[in-house]
Amino acid sequence: MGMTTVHLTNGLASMVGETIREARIGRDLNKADAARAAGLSRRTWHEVEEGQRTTTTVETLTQIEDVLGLEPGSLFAMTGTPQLARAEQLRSRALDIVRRMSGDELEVFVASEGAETLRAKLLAEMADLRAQIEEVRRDVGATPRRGRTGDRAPVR
Amino acid sequence: MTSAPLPAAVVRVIGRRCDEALEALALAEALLAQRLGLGYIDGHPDGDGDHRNDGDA
Repeated sequence: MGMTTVHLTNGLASMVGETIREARIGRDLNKADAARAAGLSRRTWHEVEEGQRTTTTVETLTQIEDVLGLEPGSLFAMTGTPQLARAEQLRSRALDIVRRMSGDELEVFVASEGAETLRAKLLAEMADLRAQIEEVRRDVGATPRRGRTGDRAPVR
Repeated sequence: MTSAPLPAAVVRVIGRRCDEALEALALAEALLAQRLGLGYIDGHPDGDGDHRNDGDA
């Protein structure tokens, strides 16, 4: 019987792994016991849970769902959930801005574009990202982490 | 477009990614203020709400 291969981006593999870890801990299972119950090797379980496997199979995901009591097909469905990919992409873009703001290349951009122009561009980019993040959050009905985000005061 | 609601576990992961993205943006804002100045707050380059001395060192 053939296996159905699933290819994941690094970000999606890590999100699938995060979901598995949360469900496993919720069931009070360690990785070894969970792997045994699913009929998978410890290494396979570990790699999937740590988001290290960008190639897996529907069968493996189904065995994991079964052991963790996750809705059948939910892990596989994650791979085709556009909001997941979008949230991952938005986080990656936000981190990219932090990298640009932290590194020496900022001086190069200031020299070539001028601080005012650069500042305006970055602010517009950040405002756009923030709006998109809130849109994804609203779309899936995810509530903001209490006291951390949301009604943040402006930078002073 | 209608679609089935996402499983709660998936919504939590998406919510976490969104939180992390917003935290990164907050850090980026702080870095922007530190490295490029605070003037954007009131829309004027020196941040004092008027145009006098804008751009002065």
